Amino acid sequence: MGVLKSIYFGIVLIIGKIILKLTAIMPGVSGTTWPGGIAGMLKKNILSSFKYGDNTRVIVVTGTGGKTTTTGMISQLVKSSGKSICTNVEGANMYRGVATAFIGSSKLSGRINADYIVLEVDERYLAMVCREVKPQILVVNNILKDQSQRNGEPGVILGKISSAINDSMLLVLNGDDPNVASLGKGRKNVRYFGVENQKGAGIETGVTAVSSPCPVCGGAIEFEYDNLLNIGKFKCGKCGLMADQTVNRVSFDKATGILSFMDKNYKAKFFTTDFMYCYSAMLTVADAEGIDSQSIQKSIDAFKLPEGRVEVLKVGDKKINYLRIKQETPVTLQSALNVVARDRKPKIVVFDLSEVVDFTPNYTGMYYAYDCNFGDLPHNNVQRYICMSKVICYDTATRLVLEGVSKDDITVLPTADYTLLLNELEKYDCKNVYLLTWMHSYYDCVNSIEKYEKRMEQ
Amino acid sequence: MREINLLWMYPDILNLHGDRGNIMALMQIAESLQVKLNVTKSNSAEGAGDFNDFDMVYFGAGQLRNMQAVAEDLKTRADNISSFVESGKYVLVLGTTGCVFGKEISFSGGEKCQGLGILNMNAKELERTEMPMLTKEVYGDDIYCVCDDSTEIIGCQIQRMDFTLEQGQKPFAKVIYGYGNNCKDGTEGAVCNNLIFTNTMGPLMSCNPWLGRKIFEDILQKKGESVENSPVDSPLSVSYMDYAVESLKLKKQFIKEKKKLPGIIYKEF
Repeated sequence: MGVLKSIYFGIVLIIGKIILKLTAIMPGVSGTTWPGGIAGMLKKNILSSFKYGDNTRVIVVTGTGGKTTTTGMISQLVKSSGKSICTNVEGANMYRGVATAFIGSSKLSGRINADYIVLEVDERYLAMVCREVKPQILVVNNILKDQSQRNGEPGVILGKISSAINDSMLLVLNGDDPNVASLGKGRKNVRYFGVENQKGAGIETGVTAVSSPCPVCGGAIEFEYDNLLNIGKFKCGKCGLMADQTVNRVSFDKATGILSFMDKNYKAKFFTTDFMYCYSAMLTVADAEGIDSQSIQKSIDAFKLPEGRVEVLKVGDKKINYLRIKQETPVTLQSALNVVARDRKPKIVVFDLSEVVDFTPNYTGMYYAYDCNFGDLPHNNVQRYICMSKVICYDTATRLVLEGVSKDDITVLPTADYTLLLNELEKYDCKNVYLLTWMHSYYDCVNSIEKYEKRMEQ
Repeated sequence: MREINLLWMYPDILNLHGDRGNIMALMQIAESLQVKLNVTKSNSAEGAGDFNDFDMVYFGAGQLRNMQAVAEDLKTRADNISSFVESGKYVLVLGTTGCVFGKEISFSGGEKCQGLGILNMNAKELERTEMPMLTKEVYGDDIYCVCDDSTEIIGCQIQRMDFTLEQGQKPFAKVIYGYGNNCKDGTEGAVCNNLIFTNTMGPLMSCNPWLGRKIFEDILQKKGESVENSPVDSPLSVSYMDYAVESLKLKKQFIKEKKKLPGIIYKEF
């Protein structure tokens, strides 16, 4: 870097650090993206201007689902093994979020003194970030149907991730996901991870059960078992994708909570299938980096789930279990359905799938619910189904009817007003309530509960 | 018990936007008509057997990257499919898969391939930067259209290709709101005899059971079976018909309240 360029970068960095300080005291301004966003506007390719030691290891995590959890697990792994780390905050996974993390962790010289840089990166920004931060390890957890309105189809995202890969990276790939596994085809520096048969989770039979197209040849993928929406041990019957590849899989004993990976046992903290894939990715990274099993167990014990994914709200004598979903991303709804399915007690299940308002134009897409397996929900002690939302409540109810739920068991609330939901819940004795909705509706629910409680106190 | 035989083509390949929901809905519609719906699945034209053994063939929406392979596979049975369409039997084709039944398919990389040519239309991959949307960030929106016989169709559309109908090619419907075939000429989908191609998802049959009911009634009548003389959108006609009717009302209101974006077809209704 020339002297003038260095001076200019230094000025931009100082501006970024000032904005970072200011955002900490300014309400409503995101401190995880603004500093990097503004600094990035002032200095093109700003990430490439930061410096770190030759021994600093850079790990990038991407994929449709589980990015935050996998990044969190790997970050905790690094910390538990006594190493220093620079990482980006949950959700701030676009270019500006990474830039903000670098601004916050660097000295005024632009040097980042960390043993590890662990980054969660949005698939669409992956090529741009990788070009500048040059990771040694790229972890790809899954490439699934996600935000169709913006992404169009999974193939678009597969192409974007593929364009970020180069031969110097170690690819840590989910060998149970056909799209992800295809990224390793013809490459040498690859480790595949997976999860043994989770028996019962996400398995679907019957005439409407479907597989997925092979990303290499377009043939139909054949699953030996399907752990979660077309993720499981597979091969392509047409081109043989993954027919001869070695995949290191986590096996899990639900009775003891012990997970096994490459002949070593660990006590798990979270037991669902999606967590098993995150554990498997983390353990593969740990093996690649030579981290000992004691540190691994320490990291598993210390890892905390990011807030806002699963919450319990109290309202009167009722307990509302909030399960966060992301619209247009079937795997998030599927994970929530799996949590509901594990609770055999009497329950009320509230679906607020809501209209999609991420972009203009807003729209009413809820077809992704048809990609999900509702399993034995209709026979699982559900006392009442409540389908709410301003516009798509009846479509949600139709989805349930087509799964075999009786219309007599469904209440449709054509509203986004959670006060009306709380009034509706008063009609039922059942105290165990599940609410499946997206983040913003959850906050509406929290606000309505506060008002409701105040009204009850008066 | 009376029966309808449905062939579900490429169920594991063309299942992009909850497309299996159409089969779930058709099963429910068949039940309401006291019809046994026999569903046969095939991931290849060769494996499907003789198309003429079926009353209806269903193709879900697929990814752009799979279209060429599907087109090539179907061409191995082009005569069989053409005669099936000519005989007036039903074919339902959704989303991007429509390109396979048209003439020329053009991809953004410059590659081209030929479809079956049953529909007189061409398909061209859509570049996001060419989208008329305000933000140019999205492929999807709602769609509301009306067929010649006044049948209302509501749903969503994730547009990856523009379709241009050539002279004489009849559209499936006229767009009231949304994108349709190309956001320019107001056409949505295409029909040839009883081959129906539409960009509408939702899934189509769960949001518009009146269409499925009409198709099945026609199939039964052609087979010499009697059909109840009740309106197809009567709440009694399909178990979830009342939900669909209410949903249509809410969505029309939702569309009315949308901002008028440049480039999106928006007719007063």
